[in-house]
Amino acid sequence: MGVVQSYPGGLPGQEAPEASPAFGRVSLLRQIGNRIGAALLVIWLSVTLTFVALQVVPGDPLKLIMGPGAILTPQAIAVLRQQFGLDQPILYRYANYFVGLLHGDLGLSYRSQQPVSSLIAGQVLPSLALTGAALLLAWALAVSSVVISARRNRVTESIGRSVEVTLGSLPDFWLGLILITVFAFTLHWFAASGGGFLAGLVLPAAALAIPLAGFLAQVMRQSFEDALDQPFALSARARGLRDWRVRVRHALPHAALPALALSSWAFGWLISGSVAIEEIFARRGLGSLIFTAVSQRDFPVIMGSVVLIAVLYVFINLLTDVLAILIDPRAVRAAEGSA
Amino acid sequence: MSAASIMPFLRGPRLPRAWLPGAGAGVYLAILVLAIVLIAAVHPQLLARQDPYDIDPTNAFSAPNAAHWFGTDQNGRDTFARVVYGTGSSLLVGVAAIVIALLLGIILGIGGTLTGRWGDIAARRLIEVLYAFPPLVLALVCIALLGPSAETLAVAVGFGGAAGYARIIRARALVVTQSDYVFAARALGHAPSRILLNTMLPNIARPLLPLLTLGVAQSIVWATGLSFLGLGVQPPSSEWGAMLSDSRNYTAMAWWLTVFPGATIAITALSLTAFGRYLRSRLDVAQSA
Amino acid sequence: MSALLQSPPPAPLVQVLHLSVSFGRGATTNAAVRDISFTLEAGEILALVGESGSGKSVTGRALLGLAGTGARVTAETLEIEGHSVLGDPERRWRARRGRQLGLVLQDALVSLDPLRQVGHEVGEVLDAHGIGTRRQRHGRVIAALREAGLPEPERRARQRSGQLSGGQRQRALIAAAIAGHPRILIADEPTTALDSTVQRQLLELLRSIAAQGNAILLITHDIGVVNEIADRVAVMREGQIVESGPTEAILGNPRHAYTRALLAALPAGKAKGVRLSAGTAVASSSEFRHRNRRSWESGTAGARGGSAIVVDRISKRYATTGGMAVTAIDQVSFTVGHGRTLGLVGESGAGKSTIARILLGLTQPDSGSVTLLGQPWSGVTEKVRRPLRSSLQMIYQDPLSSFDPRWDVERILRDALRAIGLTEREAAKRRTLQLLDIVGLQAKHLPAAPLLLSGGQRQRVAIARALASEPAVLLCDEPVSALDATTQAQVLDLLVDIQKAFGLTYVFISHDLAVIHHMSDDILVLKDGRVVEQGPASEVWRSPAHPYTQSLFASVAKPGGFSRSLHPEAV
Repeated sequence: MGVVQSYPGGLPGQEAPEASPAFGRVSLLRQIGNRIGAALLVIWLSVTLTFVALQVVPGDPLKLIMGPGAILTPQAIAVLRQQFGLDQPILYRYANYFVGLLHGDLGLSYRSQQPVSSLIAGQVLPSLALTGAALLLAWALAVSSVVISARRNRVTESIGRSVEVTLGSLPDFWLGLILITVFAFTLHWFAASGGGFLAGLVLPAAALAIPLAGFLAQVMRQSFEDALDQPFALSARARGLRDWRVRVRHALPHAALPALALSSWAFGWLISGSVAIEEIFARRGLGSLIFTAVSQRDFPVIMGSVVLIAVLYVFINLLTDVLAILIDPRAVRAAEGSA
Repeated sequence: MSAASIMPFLRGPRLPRAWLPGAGAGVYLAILVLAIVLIAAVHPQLLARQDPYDIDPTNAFSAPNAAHWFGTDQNGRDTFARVVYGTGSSLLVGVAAIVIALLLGIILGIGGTLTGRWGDIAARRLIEVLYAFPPLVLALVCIALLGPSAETLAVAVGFGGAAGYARIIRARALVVTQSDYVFAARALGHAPSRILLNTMLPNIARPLLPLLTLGVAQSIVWATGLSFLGLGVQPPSSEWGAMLSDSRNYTAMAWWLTVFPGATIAITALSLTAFGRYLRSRLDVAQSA
Repeated sequence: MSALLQSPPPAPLVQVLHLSVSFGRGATTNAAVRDISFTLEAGEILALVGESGSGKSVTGRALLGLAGTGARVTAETLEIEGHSVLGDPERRWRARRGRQLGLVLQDALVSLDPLRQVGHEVGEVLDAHGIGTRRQRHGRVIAALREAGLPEPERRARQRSGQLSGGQRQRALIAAAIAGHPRILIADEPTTALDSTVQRQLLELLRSIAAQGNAILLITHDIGVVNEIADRVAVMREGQIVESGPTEAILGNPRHAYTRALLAALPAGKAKGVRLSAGTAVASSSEFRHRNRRSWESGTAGARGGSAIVVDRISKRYATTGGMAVTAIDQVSFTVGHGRTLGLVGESGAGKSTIARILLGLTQPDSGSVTLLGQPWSGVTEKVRRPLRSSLQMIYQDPLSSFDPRWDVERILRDALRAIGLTEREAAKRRTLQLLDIVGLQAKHLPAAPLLLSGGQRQRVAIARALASEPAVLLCDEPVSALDATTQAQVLDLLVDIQKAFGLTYVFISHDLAVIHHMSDDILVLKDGRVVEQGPASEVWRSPAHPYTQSLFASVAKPGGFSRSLHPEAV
């Protein structure tokens, strides 16, 4: 019988005065402006931080380009320096990188001496397929686990919880090794590497998705249970709604919001995890590209990959924001308040 | 009042007085595992009789048996002993990494809220950018800078995780600075420095212990992952990730070389997570009304 | 035997005999409802009245088959519209919900799903039972919203609960409950969180729904609401019905001691000085005064003469995120004499909390000035203000959130004593016990975590903390609005005793007119940040001058009419 009711889940935008249409439009424009600004800032800072970090690395880039044993004439050195832009002052190179970036020019690889952009381009599709499949699978697993087991009887609940925590603790690379041993080497259900586009995707995506599903489910379960405890869930039942419809229609959207907010983080997580997974399943992709670039100190490729990942991250962030606003229009106001 | 007040039967349980109030069997099991892991890290000889570096080619690739619980590897080394002796370095890297991550997280997370408007904006943007980096890319850049070693591994994993902790700590700091009890402390007439030290900082720090526990679990998984790629602790060290990396060539013929070190990582991480979740749930109970 | 020979008397819509509901098993079994019986006839409103934990809400939910997970429901008879529903499978219950029985919950932002459009929420009952086509359902949703008195139903149906005001949300909740045309409505605190004018309108709506031949089971803690619309009333306490009968009889001539205590606890119409709770309060015993008075006198005596607080034309505007400025308060002036109580009353958004923050010196007014005990209080630096802080303290609506969650009661009080420089261990300990004694708590409460105390005990701890610095002025911000009636009565009595004992000056903020009238010497009525009326409490209560005050006071559900015998001199 309190005078002030609060929502324990802490959803944003409580009891806001009714927004007039004009106010809403201004707010949305501002919101879009803020978003673009923040996105550019993320990309710029990512490039700058990586650029600075790579400048600090000891060792002459030329040695890296030619390999340790190479002996070069001064003339050849001068040519190479010019070719890779190393004869320019550092600030010029920094500025030049952005100019190139605008034209889609990411420089030349030290190792293969091919344009970085074309090296990367070949890896984008396999990577997106892998991360996308893993993300979808993780969502599917997490949603089913939560919808099926949350707020049931004690046994079902604790099984659900334990499974989620256990899955979340599995190292993805180990899972990959186990999956490949069991399903490829022993049962021969899938090829250890390659296979068709889809068949080749199953095991690596599962290895990445299973631990992620554990994390997502833990986050969703909390909000899902909170939502089921809310008065609106009781109201819905009192209208004669079936239990599973209360779960899917009322509780699930509330649980999806925090998991959505986690999904851009999950993208970074998947890209990271894909390094080992691509290695194990002998797949092409951004992960193995970065990994090789780091082991070979191929700086232009590292830079290019970082730029691409930052752009992808920004894009995915935007996508999850739009999805969140579709589920909860109040998110516009809330994001405005925090921006 | 919370919505629970109109649904009295849904109110949370009263706090019972027990050694570990509200802990289930899983939590006690987790503590037991962690105790064993700790012993293995500090005094491995108490748990493993064999020498982890003892090569015995005649006995290579023997499957798990009474003498070699976890079997032997390509050089006939006892896998169980190697797992036990590898605990120290695996755990140390995990703990060192999380300490680095939390320190960075605290500086970024609290620093912003205490240094006024511009400091706050700068901290928020920096966290956002660091968060946009996949943790492994950050770690790889660190490794490119410093070269692979155990120390690099700790720094790399620490930097990779810092942004996530900074976000949590920052959110916490905002909640505390705007809380009713800080308001009440100001109304009582306490000096600002006293409110900061006595009320704000301790309350911001409250979730750090569960965070630390949960974080060690994740750092161990990350660090072993990097070692697995050959970017961390190098063989012949028996660090768990390095062992797994070693085992890759023999996966099909000697499953135990893959299963046991990996399962050890998973069980250690699971126990840390279970314990961390328990600590966090205690905090939630103490804070929700 | 034969229905042809004599038509039976119309069966009651709900008949309940010996209903019990318990939770848990074995040693931890908790009987929420114990052996209660009642009937609900067509066209009538039966009120189940009681305090939190009395089992009234569980009773309502048991009628819907939604008593909660793990609930054991037993009864001799449980009939709805003439059919026994005992032992029905979930499927039959589901078919009944929304069509035979509707549930109206207390308005809250989350009584309607905040992520869904209001129209979808209201139409959900039709959807669940497969009533009508899509188009027909929409028509029925709009009709239900209109019937519930929601203006512009077409537009509202597309909005979400966050875009509606409290009153509109409550109407939408009622619309959702009546959309399936059930004959029985279970209304659980349907007007509790609402401002009094809106509350009045909604009660009329419920009355008209009952008048169409429907039955309403009204679950409430508010005797005023019961008096307003209930035909019959059943008083619940600890899971049992202690007394039931026609409303006039129960409220006018209560026989059970608990009903009497409940009625006596109502502040409405009782002027300052009338005690609300039974027994002598700790603070009023002469021994108490003797023990505690001395320490205070040095603190307040010097400041006699003049006013404790002078507020001179203060204004405050806030910038919103949209870049617009909102006026929170505008040219507010008042003075509070020493030892007197000023009641600040107004509906939500009237500027009460802004005034509280300014009085506390934690927000500065844009213009105007505040003087505390003859010293400038606004427009000076915190350094100047701090020595004076000990003489002004505050108690809050939600004491729990104002306590550091790490601390027990002892630490909370020690911390307050430290703020005035009392750090010596023994002296602090003595003073802590004294403070607990003043507010009616004991030494055994010192190691308790506030989370484990009852609402009344928490507020007592908050009062003790406020008294630690021996203040001259106490700012009370909705201190009893979260409490049950009898607890509220005890806390109000305690505050009156403390004021008498120590000569404190109170600024008492509340949305509850009855509480304000009971506590105050003078009343200040706020609307949209402006003072619309101020004057002595009895005058404002008896003959409010401003039209806004008149409407505000007219809408208070005054239980004065039926209970003359209880307080003959209702002022």
